[in-house]
Amino acid sequence: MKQELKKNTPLYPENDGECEILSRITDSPLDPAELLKRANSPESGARVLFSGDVRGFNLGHEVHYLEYEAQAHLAEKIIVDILNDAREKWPLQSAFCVHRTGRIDPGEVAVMILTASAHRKDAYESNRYIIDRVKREAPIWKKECFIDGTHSWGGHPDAASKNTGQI
Amino acid sequence: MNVRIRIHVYAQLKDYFDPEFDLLLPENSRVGDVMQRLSELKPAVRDLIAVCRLADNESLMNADQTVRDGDELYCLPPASGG
Repeated sequence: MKQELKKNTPLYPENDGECEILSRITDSPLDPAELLKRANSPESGARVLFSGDVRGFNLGHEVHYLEYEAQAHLAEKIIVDILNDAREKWPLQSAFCVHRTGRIDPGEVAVMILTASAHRKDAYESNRYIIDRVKREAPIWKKECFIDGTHSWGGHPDAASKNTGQI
Repeated sequence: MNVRIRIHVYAQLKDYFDPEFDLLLPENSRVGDVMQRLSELKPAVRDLIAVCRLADNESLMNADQTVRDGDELYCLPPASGG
């Protein structure tokens, strides 16, 4: 079944005066402070920032680095649709998703989701909704390269959760 | 009469295919035919191809959509970002 992307979705950033949307794939390091500052507004009583960081260990192996790749244009469009779906469900002033590609070392940030709303409940719930969908739907892939020279391609979160209980 | 399309692959598919390559297919071939051809080319990765989606640069495609000469298509394994 075809998964239609919404037509005429503008590429980002977009701000209609009520909610600013930002969807970006970048190979540059991510700065959580910059994203928090951008979402600071008098209307928002709560800003929730999710920072997805590279762990130093996974599956019993010491991680050397992760390598992310994306079909960037399509990923940004799909994320735009996810962010717009979130703002239809929750009253948000900001909905941002920035995902990094290329080599990322342990301790560095791979993805950031920021949601801002008048109240924390909406900001928390929408943030979780966005990252869960981004992980499942955006054409972005992760290769884990371990210190021992082996590597592993990241699995889809639905498959991963069967093995670890975590997504 | 054949059509020539360019396929881009990602992630673990690049262990089996060049990152991009051309395919020649009969005229009026559909997305499902493209996926079938990819499986025939690399049967070792048939199970992975079966769960991939094909997209153009704007949207995901249906199995019954017709591909056209000169199309640039993207074979997307299940996502693993975040």
